Amino acid sequence: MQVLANGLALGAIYALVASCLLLIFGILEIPDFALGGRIMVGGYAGYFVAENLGLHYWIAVVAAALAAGLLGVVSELAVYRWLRNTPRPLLSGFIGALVLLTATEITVQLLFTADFRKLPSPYESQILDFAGIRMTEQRLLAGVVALVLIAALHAYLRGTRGGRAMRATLEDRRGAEIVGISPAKTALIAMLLGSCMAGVAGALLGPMYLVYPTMGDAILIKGLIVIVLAGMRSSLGAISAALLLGIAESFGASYLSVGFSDAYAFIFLIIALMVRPNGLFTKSVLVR
Amino acid sequence: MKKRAIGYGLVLSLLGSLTACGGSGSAGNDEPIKIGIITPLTGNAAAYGSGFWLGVQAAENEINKSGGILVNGKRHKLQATVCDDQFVPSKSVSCGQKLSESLMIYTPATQSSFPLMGFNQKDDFILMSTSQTPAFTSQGNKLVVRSTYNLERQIPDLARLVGEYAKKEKLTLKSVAIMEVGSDFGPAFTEAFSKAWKAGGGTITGTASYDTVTTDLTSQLTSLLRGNPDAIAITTVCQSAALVMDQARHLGFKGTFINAVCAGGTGMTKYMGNSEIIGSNIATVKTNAFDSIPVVGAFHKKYSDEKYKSAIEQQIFEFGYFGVEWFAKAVSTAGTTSDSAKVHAALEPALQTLQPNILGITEYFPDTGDIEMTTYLAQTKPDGQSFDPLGGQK
Repeated sequence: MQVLANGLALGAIYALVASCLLLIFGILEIPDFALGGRIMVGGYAGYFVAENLGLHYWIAVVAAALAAGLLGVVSELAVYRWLRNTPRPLLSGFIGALVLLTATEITVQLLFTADFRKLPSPYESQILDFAGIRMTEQRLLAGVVALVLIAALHAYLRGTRGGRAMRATLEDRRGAEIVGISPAKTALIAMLLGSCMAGVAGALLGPMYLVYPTMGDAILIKGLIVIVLAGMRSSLGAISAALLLGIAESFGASYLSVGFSDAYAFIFLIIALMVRPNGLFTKSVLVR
Repeated sequence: MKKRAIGYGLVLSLLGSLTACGGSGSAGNDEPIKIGIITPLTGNAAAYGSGFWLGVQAAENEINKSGGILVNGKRHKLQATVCDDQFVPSKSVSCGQKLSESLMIYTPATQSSFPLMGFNQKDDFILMSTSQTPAFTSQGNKLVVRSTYNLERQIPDLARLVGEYAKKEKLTLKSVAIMEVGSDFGPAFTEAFSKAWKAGGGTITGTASYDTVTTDLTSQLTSLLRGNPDAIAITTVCQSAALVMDQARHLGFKGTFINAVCAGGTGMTKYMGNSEIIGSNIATVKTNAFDSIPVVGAFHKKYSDEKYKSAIEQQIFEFGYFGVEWFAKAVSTAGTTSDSAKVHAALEPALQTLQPNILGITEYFPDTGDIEMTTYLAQTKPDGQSFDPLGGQK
């Protein structure tokens, strides 16, 4: 049970990051590796608000969302918007995102050094013990908040005018433009939402796994694996794939070998793509 | 035009004077003695690596302030150049190649030193390291030297002292699970510790691999805790060790932590939800952990400035400092600024002039590069400071 609980908690965070990546990729059509940098910026913003200003953890979470959201908007306006108009936008976006990630990490490292920092949270020292499962409140909270945010995103996409415009752009960019949906505005909103959620992820992870310049890298890779597993376009599939991946990693590390714990995600991906090349949760495409 | 001509003239004369200065330097008398430092300055072991570099710089400043290293009647400045390898072996190699003109390269860990062993003899530089891995000095490399103990020599002492501690504290300490760092040091520690621990009647319930980059250790710890161990042995620097301890407690582990590398430091408590956890950390430490030893107390008083605090707490500052001090003394004793073999051999007589020293290194074996040093057991208090629970027992 402990192993399953570990896997589910891990999977929920993967799902949050994958949802951010999917939203941004769907609208901007850029694989946004720089999201790892914004997770980290969220972690740092939360740390400074909670540790240096002594404010409550939840205020730190809001600050993390705002800082990462702001960075996302700046990235879209200053970098991605221009790269989308180049002759090869996917390649340019790919390189641009990597440059942005590196630049963010190096800047933070120069400003704050590479020291580990623990984001203080009142939930980190509280331990829940239920049916043989031990878990800090922070870990449970991270999983629950991640799932609530994903649900809120879905509610926004389905229940609001802005969300429907975004879904229209996701379905058919040209069609959306024809009916008057501004692609630039939609991209900006997608970037803002995705980045704010990434910032929250940073603040949720900070108390457990510490804050440091490369803290977003590993989780970003897992997020990318999840969206490839799910089939690039399926948001509900991404949540399922994330939970499956978290559980697979946790069971693999506990019952096979912990030495390969980081490799399980890739092994899982390779096997899944061999069985279903279009992703686990996409409908098969019949090619005539 | 006239103004521009005067300008060019000034620039040329300035360049001329600069060239003349460089010329007199390269003519020979005060050519600097170069050492290379390969250490993580960025990445997840940055605090540890930066602390080491700070110690090197302190020694370099002191040596140069006193006029430099005296070799055959001439004084030479010491010039330390640092290269950041982030504890990544491929980066250690490129750093080593970049700094291979140095007379010595000094590194603070197995991760950084092992990749250089493939070419340090060919490129003719001494390789000094704080590596505790036996293979560092067992491969016949004639230019290696340790500034800390060899696991094979020290682990039996650790196992014995832990046994004494358990007896004194009336603790059940029979079964141990090992968190094994993924460098050469990890398996070497597991092998040496398992042998010594089993010889004393103990058992090893399991090992799990991890590294200094990973901050989520839940899977490893869940796997280890299934064996219900009395203690967990940890094999990484303080930051990672603190994470292991914190997360192990969250998963319900109530036992003791036996630490192969880190004996504490207030820095550790920063990474823990509950700083009381740190009180169950025991480790072997060297002389430099105790201010009550006069030479150590005086040294720490001299470097009591806030900027040295974290490095001294991690007990790495002294290693950076002493390694350079020892090397400088050996260069002076050898009477050469270029013959690495001669300098390597001179480390032995040089060490004798540095007694007692802050690391408690008492003997050096030039044939292998091994050293002998005094080790103690330390327990970490909740404030991060360490004390000797066995009252000076070595």
